[in-house]
Amino acid sequence: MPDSKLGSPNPLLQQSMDDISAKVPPKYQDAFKRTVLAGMKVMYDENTAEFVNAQMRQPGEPADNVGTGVFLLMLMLYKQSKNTLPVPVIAPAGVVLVCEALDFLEQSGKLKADEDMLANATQAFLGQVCKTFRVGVKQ
Amino acid sequence: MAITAVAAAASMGAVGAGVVAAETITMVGIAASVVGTVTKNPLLSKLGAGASLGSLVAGAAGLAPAAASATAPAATAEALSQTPTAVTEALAQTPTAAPTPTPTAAPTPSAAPGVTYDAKDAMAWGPQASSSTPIYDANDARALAAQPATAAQPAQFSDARFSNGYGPAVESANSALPDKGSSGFMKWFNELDKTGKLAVGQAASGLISGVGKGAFDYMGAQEAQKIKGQQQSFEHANLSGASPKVGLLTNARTTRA
Repeated sequence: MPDSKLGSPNPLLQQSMDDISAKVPPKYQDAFKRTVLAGMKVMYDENTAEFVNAQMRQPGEPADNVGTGVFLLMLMLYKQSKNTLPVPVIAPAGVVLVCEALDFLEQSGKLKADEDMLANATQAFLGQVCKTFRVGVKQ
Repeated sequence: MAITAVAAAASMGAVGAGVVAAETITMVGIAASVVGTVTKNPLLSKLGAGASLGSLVAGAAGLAPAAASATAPAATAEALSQTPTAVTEALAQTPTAAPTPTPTAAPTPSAAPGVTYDAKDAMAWGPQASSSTPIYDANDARALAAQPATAAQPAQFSDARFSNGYGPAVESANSALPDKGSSGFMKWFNELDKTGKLAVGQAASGLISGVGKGAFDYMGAQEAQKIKGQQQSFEHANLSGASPKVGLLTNARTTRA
């Protein structure tokens, strides 16, 4: 996370956020932090916070809903930033926001953010990123 | 098996796009490896170690049903690049109307009671202050994104002032955002009042101040300074423990009780 004070009481989520933040290359640190903060602002601002709940009301697995919701949030930020948001930071910033969303939902009593939930939500998010931005593998 | 960015780089076709795509893959790997290690998830751990990202794409949940058929477990960048139409169509869900978006007048600051940040600052660098930093409302966002993702990019994206160098592939992906029937995201966004939409615009505009060197250069110094101040105020509010998350959690717990 941009700052440990923004972290989670859930050690899985906290460790994930800390480790990702530490591994983002220095040249992307500023963009990464600003992207996370922008996402959190949308997620937690009293005028827009319904986003998380609206996404969770969608049919399907909660983990998929979280991953897809964060992905759409990142796309929205990307568009609203006039495409200036660096694409490389979308993955790490988005996974941190996945952790944030899971933490919020867990503290709200709406799900248990265990290992499977975190892994599945992360897969859902990263899968959408790779598919949409055509990031793939040459075999 | 070497991770490459063949499709991304090829479809971007811009100088440096390969480097950008490679960095994107690296960052995906970082995120995957961290969560894979923490959760002991074998797939994510392998991805971080350089295994196929195709399995991630194959498992991507449902925004694009048509794309799913093109993302079997062996899906590769080449496979995606060979079916760009399917992917694009699935993501875009065949938008029809493509009206010309126009920046809308922003709400008056007095219409934003209870906002935890200074809306006046945002308004100062909003549409009235400069046409270079418009805040679009939901209709504009829908109109922007409804434009078909073709070689002829929307004027907004082809404008060099806002070019990020990632090329048409990313921009066509960007156009996939609106009207996804499988998601409540756009419904949520469209139902936001003006204050809520302003908050989204503010959040993203904070990104411009931090990362959009092209836009940053284009903006006047005074506007840039205001954006910087607004972003710093938000960061300070969070870092000082005054995050709106606290209030939201309190409300959520109260509701649950």
